[in-house]
Amino acid sequence: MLQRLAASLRRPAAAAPLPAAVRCVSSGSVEVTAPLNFWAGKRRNSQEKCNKEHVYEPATGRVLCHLEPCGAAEVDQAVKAAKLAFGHWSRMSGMERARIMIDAAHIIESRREEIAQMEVVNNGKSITEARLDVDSARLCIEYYAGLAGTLAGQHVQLPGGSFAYTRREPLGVCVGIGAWNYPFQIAAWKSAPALACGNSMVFKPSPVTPVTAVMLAEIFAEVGAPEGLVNVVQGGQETGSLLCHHPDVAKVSFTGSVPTGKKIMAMASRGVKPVTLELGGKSPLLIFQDGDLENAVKGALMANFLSQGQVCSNGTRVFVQRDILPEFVEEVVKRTKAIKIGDPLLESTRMGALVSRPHLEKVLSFVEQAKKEGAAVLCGGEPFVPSDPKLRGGYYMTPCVLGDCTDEMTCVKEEIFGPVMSVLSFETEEEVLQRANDTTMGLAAGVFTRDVRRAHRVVEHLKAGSCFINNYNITPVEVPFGGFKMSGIGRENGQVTIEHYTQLKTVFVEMGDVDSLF
Amino acid sequence: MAQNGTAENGVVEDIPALPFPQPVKVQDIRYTKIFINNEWHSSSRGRTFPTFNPATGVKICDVEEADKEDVDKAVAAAKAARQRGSPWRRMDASSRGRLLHKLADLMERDRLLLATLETLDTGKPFLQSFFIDLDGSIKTLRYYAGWADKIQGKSLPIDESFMCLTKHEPVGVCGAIIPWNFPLLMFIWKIAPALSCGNTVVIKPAEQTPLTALHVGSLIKESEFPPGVVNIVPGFGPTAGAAIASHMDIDKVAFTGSTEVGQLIKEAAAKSNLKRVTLELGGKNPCIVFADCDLQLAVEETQKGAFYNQGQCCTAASRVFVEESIYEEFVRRSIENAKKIVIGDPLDPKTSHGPQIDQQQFDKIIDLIESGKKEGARLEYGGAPVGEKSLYIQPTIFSGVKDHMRIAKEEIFGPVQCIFSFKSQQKAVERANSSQYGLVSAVFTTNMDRALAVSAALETGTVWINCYNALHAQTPFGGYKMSGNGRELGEYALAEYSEVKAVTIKLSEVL
Repeated sequence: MLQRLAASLRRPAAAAPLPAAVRCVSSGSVEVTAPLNFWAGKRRNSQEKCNKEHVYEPATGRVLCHLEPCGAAEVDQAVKAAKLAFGHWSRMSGMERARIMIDAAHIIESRREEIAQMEVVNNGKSITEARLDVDSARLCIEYYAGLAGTLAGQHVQLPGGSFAYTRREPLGVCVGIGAWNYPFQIAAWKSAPALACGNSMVFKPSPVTPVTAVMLAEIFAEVGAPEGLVNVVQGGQETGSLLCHHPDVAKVSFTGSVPTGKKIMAMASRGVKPVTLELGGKSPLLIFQDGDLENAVKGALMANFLSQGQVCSNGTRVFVQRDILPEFVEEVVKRTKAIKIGDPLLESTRMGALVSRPHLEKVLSFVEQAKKEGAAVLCGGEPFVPSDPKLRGGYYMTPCVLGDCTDEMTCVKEEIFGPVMSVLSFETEEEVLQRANDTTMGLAAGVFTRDVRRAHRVVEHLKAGSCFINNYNITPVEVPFGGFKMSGIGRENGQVTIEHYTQLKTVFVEMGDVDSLF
Repeated sequence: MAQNGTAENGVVEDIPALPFPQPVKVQDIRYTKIFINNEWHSSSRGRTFPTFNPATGVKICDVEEADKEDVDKAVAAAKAARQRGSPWRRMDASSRGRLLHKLADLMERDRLLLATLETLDTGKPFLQSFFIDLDGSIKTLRYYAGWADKIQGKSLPIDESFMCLTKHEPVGVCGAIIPWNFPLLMFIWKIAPALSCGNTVVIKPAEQTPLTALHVGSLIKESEFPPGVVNIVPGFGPTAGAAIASHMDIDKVAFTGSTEVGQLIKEAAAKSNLKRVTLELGGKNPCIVFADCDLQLAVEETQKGAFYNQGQCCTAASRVFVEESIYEEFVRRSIENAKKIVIGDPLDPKTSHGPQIDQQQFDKIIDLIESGKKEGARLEYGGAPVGEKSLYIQPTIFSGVKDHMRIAKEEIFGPVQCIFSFKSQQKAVERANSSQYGLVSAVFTTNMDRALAVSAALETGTVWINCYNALHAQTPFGGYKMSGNGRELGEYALAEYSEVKAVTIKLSEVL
């Protein structure tokens, strides 16, 4: 889930404001005390004190803060605030909305390091990746700011001088429900298009990673957005359910697992609310023997190990054409073993901690299951304990490559959501396409080949929303992102997302007399 | 409409309350040279030309004069800046957008100075410079900043086993030649879409008004646009302008100005290298005022349309057709309304009417006013210079104007309102359309059916209904007939600055 990596790194001067960097945050030292709910322009406590939950720092395993979930009263206040803000915001011109969004983007840029560090502390991913996530959030807001002033309808000419025109109007209060793998970036990906189109937002982060979304809400308040434009309510399933059922909510956009996505769609259907769903995947990566092996190996690593493998679009089923399999496996294993695991706040770290203890255990159990079913563990797949004593309680594991996999194995069928790559071999294009598409999901897919005709022919037949030719997991904000089949509904990013945050009003204008049948 | 803010090139809907912004004291003019490769150059031929304050006739400063050799240098810089592999070509589209935003930020920082320079150089009232020209320029930059990373092609399903992708690529080096009536706004209207699409630019400001363009040159450098992306060549039409129009390495030329010069430019473009051409030319713009209109609104809007910027607008409302039954009342109220105009020092915030740009324009306008008197139009108001030896002309109203008169046919480009009467809607539309021009028109009526029917029949690129000079960055602007080719502003302008490349790939049918 990267904006082009090289491009991001090419721009250090513009993107590395130093004052925040000298704060010198270190793992195990950060306290989060301010309330994490935010509505009507302020951070707020919830009255539901009894349900407080622990929030952990994955790098150390210590308790970082307590989550105060929102109940019916709090959700109602947040939605009310958003509804009030919608009245002001939707009446502003697109250019005026754009200005506020650009100002917010400037602040994100100037606070890049601080936001990235909080993301690391709460999520466990490496600081290098967290910075790129913050950049992606900023770019997304800048992109949609630019689109805000360009929203337009159509003019349709009809016989006899009559005509119709369409107006593109916002929906109202939109709810965003985020996942824990990209907490800040998802908050931005959901709010930027919603706000550009004139909607307001109530966002609920995952209860595991509540810390950074509220920073985005604060930034919008700071640059003069109407009070209540972006609100954050914390909580789990119950809070999510309250949001989905709220009569004043016009739309729900969710990123997360397939089972939760189904529940959200069912709840939204009771109010006939449109949904955007970005769900899981078990995406295939096809490596043909005429592919550039060096790039294919790098692509396979990018497809599996970003964010400790906790990425919905990951290409976890790596199909390698038989003739190059030994060579490919040797190289992938060598580089996987070289990935530096450790304190995610260190610049040299390339893989941090998984998000939680239960999740780590689940990922490790997938590796155990794979062994039982006959897969060969070529490297990794073990718990990892860093030498630094303060990191001993963290949720680390060594990245894993599984060989000798077959299509029936659990590790090939189910989404593991951890650093586990399954390598499979194939012989013909026809065969691999059939196997690649043999899944209920269809988020992403990749192909490595030097034959341009094969590349386009193969992607035409792949049943996936985001296809990559000779690369993987690149997500520029200009480009639509979303899934086929059970991987989701709708798209995020790109111009097309305007369709998912607006509704069309058609106006018919009669220029002649009414022909009455009566 | 009010949501979209003030009209860019027209009437401020509400000038904010006191305290007004105040012009700054300009001690000396810092930027007076030719701007190439983000550096300041002297004239190759060692020549300079003076620029004057039209309100006082006093010389402001001398400016280095660009001629053919300087244009060659500028084009070479622009060409190098767009070579494959150059920093500008390699730059992400989103970064181009950020640079345009940066330039807008710097213009906001220097807004008072830019508005003061614009008023000194053109004579237009300071508050209009500040609230209209600067506002429009900054908004246009921000609008096209937003487009930079959304200029995209299509993937086309085509017959048999092919696939086709279209790519929108920059045209290349874009030449631009702009007029003196809105020096800064026209500068931005040209560079913003060109840069958004990834082109490089060689632009010639008018010889009467080079100062704001050159100041923006310094801001372009400060914004850190790569060298050679924008080059500014102050100079004259027959020399520097002609060199741009006929240059073999300029891929496109955009011109705003008179129809006669527009024809020369298109001819030079055709004879040199068939460069693409967009033209925004003159107008003789009709307003049709029906008896069922909101009369006070129609009087105010049509008069602002006629007198705004001392009548020096291609969009000037120079032919006002009024339905016979309200004709006398319309003329009476127009005279009353004109009495409110305050003629004075353009730097004084109370002033709403300044001088004409130069002696040549002044003489032409006075000649046309005299022709109107001679040919039998009734002079209702004004009709003479203000004082002696100045470039001020009184706002002038003629009634009883007939279609054959010179003031009914020729573009006056001065503060002269010509009022005609009509009986039938059909005749009014025919008379409105009987012009070689087709830039803008307006309809005043409270009957929406009539407004839409008439707007469908008018042969102009813009039709305003119950408003005038309502120009916005989002709205395409350009002329029918001899008022021009192509469109500026809005998404449409992007097409004028892009080439479309179709990439067709043969796929084999077997898997």
